[in-house]
Amino acid sequence: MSISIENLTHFYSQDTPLEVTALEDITLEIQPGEFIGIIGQSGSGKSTLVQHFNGLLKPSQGKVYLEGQDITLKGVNLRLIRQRVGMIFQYPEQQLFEETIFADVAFGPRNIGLAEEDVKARVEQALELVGLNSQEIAQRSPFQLSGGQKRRVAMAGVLAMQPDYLILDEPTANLDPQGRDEILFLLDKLNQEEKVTIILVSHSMEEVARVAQRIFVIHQGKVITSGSLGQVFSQEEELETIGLALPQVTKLMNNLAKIGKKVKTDIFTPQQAAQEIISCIRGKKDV
Amino acid sequence: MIKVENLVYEYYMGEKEEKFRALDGINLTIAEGEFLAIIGANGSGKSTLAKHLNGLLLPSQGEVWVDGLNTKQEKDIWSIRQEVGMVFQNPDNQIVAAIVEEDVAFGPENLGIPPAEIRKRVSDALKVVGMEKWCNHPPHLLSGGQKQRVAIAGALALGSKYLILDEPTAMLDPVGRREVLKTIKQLNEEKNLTVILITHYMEEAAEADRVVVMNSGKAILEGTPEEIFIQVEKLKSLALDVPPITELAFLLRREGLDLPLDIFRIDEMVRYICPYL
Repeated sequence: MSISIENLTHFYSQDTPLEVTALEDITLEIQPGEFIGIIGQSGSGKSTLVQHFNGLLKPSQGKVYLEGQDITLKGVNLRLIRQRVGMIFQYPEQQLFEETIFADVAFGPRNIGLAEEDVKARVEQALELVGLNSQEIAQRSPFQLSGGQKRRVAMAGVLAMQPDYLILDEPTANLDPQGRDEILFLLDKLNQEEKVTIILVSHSMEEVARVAQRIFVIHQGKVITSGSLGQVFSQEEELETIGLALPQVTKLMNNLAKIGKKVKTDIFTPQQAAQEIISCIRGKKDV
Repeated sequence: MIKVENLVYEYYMGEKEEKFRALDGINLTIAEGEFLAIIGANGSGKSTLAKHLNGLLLPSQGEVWVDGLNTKQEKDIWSIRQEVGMVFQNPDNQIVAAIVEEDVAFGPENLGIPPAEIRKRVSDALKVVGMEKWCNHPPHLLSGGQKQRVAIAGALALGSKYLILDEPTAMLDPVGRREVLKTIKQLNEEKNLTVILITHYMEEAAEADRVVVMNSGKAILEGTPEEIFIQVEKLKSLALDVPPITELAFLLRREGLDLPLDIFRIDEMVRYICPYL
């Protein structure tokens, strides 16, 4: 059971002089419980790709399956699909519209006809998940919050629908380092504890390296490489030529390896690098 | 020189009209030709401070002087805004014309400068930011980094001596960020433009001559990037990052390695670690 894409091609403005191939022959599969990173430059096609995952866009060619069901067919209940595959767009705080935070988060659950007590339970749970105290803030206006808080309220609105899959398009753009860390921590928690499958779209390798288990690199509408962090980041030159920078510490370890030092290079955070360097130094002393 | 003296800025918010102090006694002098970075968490007052430097906001208490002109003097405000150009975060919110060169010409046209002089200023400014090839393009077809360079050209065409950039790269991808930062550095070094860069990205702040750290409306730390970034724990407690290589140096020092803390670059780190490995 999974999201599975087969030979997906997407043209914008098809059959006009302005036709552009946004995605070309993409085949990939995402398993339940995975934490996927999708990276690429602006304009590479990442956002176009993920909008196929819940039927917001239909492929020009190819198929999209959600747990075996072809969602590109006519007559598919897309509302149900979108409840299962939640999408958090860029700058989701721009979509806040209700007078109170409670009403904003409750909008989705009410729309699917839940009883008011279930709605309340879902809103409280969703706000708690994103680290906001429901009792304190539920009756306040969402527009009085800070940027990072607004974004978390908007995310709670999607989480209240209890999706199995959650797609996030650049969820940390414009946040300060603490706001960014809070979001990444939340995604990790959703994945580990709530078993939500996460698909994180980003152009920051540093960020993806901190949380994702598997990466797809998109360039000019194609998946040019994919695999574990280590597999993808070992292709430093290819990534640099398409304008994606490796995490700085990964580069450092690569540079050390290049000049003949025996260090591991599948290192993505300063903590991992420190551990590896220390263990190399200790190992050397023992010899 | 821009001089900020005991600057306090307060406003009223919410239904109860509670007074909120966004800036709380800032003193700061920015010298000509300097590259100053201002860092701080969301809500620390960075942008509010920046908006005082060209009179977009006026102090509740204290003074701001730009080359001897006080921003509170209404008659001087237009000279001040000409001197102090500003580039905002979202490239799409600051482009007004349908063609790149017309956009850059918008400022000088408003000042009533003769057309021949405008032409010269526009083409010079676009050349400086490396966008001369795009002068006849519609701006909406440009990338984010290119749009920000056009916005910078707009300030240069006005003859600004000081350029404030309020998170100019926050909405850009890595390539766009590099383009913009390179342009800023070049303008500072070659044209002696005074740059005030507000940013969340510590690797950008590391390029500046001086860094000011804001927290709750106060400038709480000030110094060279080296002096600032060695305070790893302090920065973390302020919800700020340090560059990843500096963080690694900090972690390795804790394990007893004798490394300086003011390392931000990969090649420096390689040099320092090699003797150990």
